[in-house]
Parts: sequence; C-alpha cells; structure tokens
Amino acid sequence: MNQDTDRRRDDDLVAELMQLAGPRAQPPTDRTERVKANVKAHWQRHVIVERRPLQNKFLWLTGLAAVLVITIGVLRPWSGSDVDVALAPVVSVAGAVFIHRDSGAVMARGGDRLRPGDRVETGDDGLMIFTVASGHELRLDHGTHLTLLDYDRIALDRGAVYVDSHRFDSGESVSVVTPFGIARDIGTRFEVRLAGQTLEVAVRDGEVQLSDPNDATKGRWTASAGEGIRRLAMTQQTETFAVSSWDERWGWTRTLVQFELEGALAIEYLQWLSHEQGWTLSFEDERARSLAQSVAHGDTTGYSALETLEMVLPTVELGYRLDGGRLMVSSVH
Amino acid sequence: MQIKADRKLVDRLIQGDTRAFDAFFHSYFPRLYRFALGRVGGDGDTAEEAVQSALCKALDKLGTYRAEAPLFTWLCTFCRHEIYALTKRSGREQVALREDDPEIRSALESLFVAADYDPELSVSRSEVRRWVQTTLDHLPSLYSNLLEWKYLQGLSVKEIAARIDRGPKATESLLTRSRQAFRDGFSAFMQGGADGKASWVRVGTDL
Repeated sequence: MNQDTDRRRDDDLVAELMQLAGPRAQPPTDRTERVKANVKAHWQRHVIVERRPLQNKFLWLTGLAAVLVITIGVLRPWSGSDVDVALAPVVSVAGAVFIHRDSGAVMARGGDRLRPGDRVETGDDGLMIFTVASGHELRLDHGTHLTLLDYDRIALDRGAVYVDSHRFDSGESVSVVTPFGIARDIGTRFEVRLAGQTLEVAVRDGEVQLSDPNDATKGRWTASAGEGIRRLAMTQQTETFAVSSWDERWGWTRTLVQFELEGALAIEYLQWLSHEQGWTLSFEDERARSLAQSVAHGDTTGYSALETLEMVLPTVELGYRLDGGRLMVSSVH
Repeated sequence: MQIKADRKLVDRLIQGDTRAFDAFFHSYFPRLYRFALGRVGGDGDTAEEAVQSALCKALDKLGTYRAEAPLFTWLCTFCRHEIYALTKRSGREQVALREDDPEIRSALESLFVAADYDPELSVSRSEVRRWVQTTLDHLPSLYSNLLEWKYLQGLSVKEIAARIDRGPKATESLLTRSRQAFRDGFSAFMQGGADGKASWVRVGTDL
C-alpha cells in the first residue's frame, strides 16, 4: 500500500515537473544539418579514412609474409602502395563497370580501391559510387568514362559524374576536368555531364566554379544552387539554365543508394530521404518531431521515394505533404 | 548498462558504422547544443561553433574513451573546453550555471540516489524549468524520451510500447527506471544546506 502511494507521489511529482518545464527546445534544423554534415565529414576523414591505411598496410604485410612462407612467386595484381589505394574506395557498383590500369582491365566491385591513373568506364547499365579522402562522394552515371588524376581531381571524357561534398566546408574541393571546362566545387552537390560537344554543370546546392581548361583567365563562371551552366564547344557559347534541387535530373544519382530502414529512427530515414531528393525537411509541430524519433521497420528497397513515404510514415503515426521541394511532416492525429 | 551501451556505440563509431554515427549525432547534438547555449548567453552561432568543434575533437579521441563515465559527460568535457576557448577569444563572459558547481556536476553525472522531500525548498519557476531540462539531457535518451512522451504528450503505456517496439510490461518497467533516474538527477540540483541532503522541490502555483 505504502509502495503504491510512494509510486503515485513519484508519478505526480515527475508529471508536475515535466509539465512545468515543457518540451526541451530542439536546435534549429539548419544548424543541425550543417553541424551533422561537417562532423560526419570530419569523422569519415579522420576516424575512418585515416585508420584504413594502417589496416590495409597490415593486411598487405600479412599477405607478403604468407607469400614468403609458401614461396609461391605470384605477384599481386595491381601491386603498389595500399596506403594510397585505401583512399578512394569503391562503395557500390551495379551493372558493367571496368577499371583500366596498366596491368589490364577488371570488373569493378564494391571494396575495390581506386588510385591516381585509374580509368573507370561504366557500361550502358553500369553505375558506380566511390569516395575520396576529402569525404566527397562521386557517383557515375551509365556510359561514363573518367580518369582519376588525383584524389581531388578527375578527368571526365564522357557521361556524367555527380559530386556530393556532404557540405564539408574545409576548403578542400574536387575538380572535374573536361575538354570544355574545369568544374570545381565550393562545398556542394553538383553534376558534370559531357555529351558530345556539350558540357553541362548543374548545381544542387552550394556553389561551383567553371573555368576554361586552357586559360583560366579567359573564362570563369560561377553557378549557385538551382543554376546550371551549359557550354557549347562548337560555338564557344556559354549559357545558364535553372535546375531545382528536386528536379528529375537528379533521379539517376539515387539509383545505387539505399537506406537500411529496419531498426532505424524515422528521423534518420526522413533526413536521408530529404538529402537525396533535394527536399527541405520541416516538422509541423513538436509532436511530429517527437514521433519521428520512433523506430521504423521494413525494407524500402525497390520503391520510389513517395512510395516509401506512404509505407513508412503511417507506421509511426506521421503523415506528410510535399510542396515543391519542401517535405512537411505532420502527426496524423 | 548505459555505459556499456556507450562503449558499444563508440566501438561502432571507430569501426566506421554510419548507422552508429547517425545514432550518436541525433542523440548527443541536441543535448550538447542546449548545454552550450545556456553557457554562451543564448548565442546560437557560438553554441553551434562550440559543439561542432567539441564533437570533432571528441571523435578524434574516441580511442581514449574508457567508459568510466557516461558518453554525454565525456562529451560535455570537450564542450566546456571549446566554450571556454571561444568566450575567451571573443572577450566575453562565460555564463556560470548552477550545474557547473563541481558538487552538482558530480551528482548529475553519477545520478546519486536522492534523499528526502523538502517541501520548504522553493526556487524560481525558470530555474526549475532549466534544471528539469538539464536533468533530462543527462539521462539516457530512451529515458528522457519516455518521460516526455508520457508526461508531456500524454501517451499511454501501450502507445509508448508500440513506439519503442517493446511489450507493455517491459515499457512500464522502463518508465519506472526513467522516473527513478530523473528523480535522482533532479535531486542533485536541490542538494545544499549544511547537511548536504538532497531533496525534492515543491513546484506549482506557489513558485
């Protein structure tokens, strides 16, 4: 009886205090996203990437020891510094993708590591994602040919590459070199597409500088989020065009990426989805924001973004509306 | 229990588990931001800078986390240093908060069991509000979420159970533990007086 009374008193006091204090203020979404992007890039660079060279060096030494012990004179294909190759890991591959080196061509696989001088070709059904030391992620479309000149510089011969810097503003950037212009990011996501004699640079967020490959002083253009630059080699004309962050143009960049929903928080899924779709995520009220902390279940593989929203949100009592590029999440009650 | 979970989370971060990073960030960023905001006089830009810098430095030192204190406490140490450096650089005063008192800090960090209820003790409503929220920030995320869902959003045990994917009995038990942890943590703020006893505060219209 006394125990029950104590529990009730405890319950009442906690309720009273909690109601007096009200909900804890959440940091503004823009701050949260900005800090997350920067801290994540730092983590990827300093905690993950810097560990890998040691791990790979160790594996390489172990492999070397084994070779010596069993005295089999087989040279490792693509021998070289594993410390270097660890810095541009292939994250994901679909369809036919080849890596060309002096020693020959091989089919690319997830876990391969690219190094300067490697030439990558994606077939008509091929797609690939790889990352470089700065934390930038590079996604290659079908029919793309490029050469990794250095860890922060690639030469695009044809096709399209999408660069996602994860908004890490360390000052490091990735340059995409084409015969008709060199595109360099300033903390952004952008696509460089080279089709025949036409070069297009479309900017999803942040800013990109495009300069003339032969003489940077001759031509230099800047495109901001929502803009694109088109250069026509034949006429040497340069024009701009509009492209929203949620434009269909970006559709192919999502093909290889997926989110493991099972067991994740709904907020993690919503943030990932908004980033990939180019949407701005908002919550109608604190209740919706709080519900988004619920655990989500299921597998969204093979469904479109809108289909996954229809599937996932009701399970955590949330609904949504999409207004242009703004995803507004609300509670269903 | 919490420290074990923290240790596991740190291990996963070191291994490069992206899911662990997301969990880490969403669990600790809001709490650290609030922690910093109160100490820099409500300046959001400075709080953001301090927390970002603190998180980056903490991630660099993950290998040194020995799981002797909760991860949040460990992160707060980095945050304190960053706030100190930023306020010193800008020539501003760092705001002194009651929870920065070493005794209260220690009590909050270890969430010692509180002593008796003292109806005579009264403090301002805004102080209580801040102490409640600080206490919640020091609890494991699951505990503070449970308490907010139950007492602020009025969810039933059944609804909460569905949200955290547990049975009603396990949820009820978690709620009891959450209340206990909250009570212990909050009592740390009430510690004082010659005998150093902790006590509950009376809240309501008389404040």
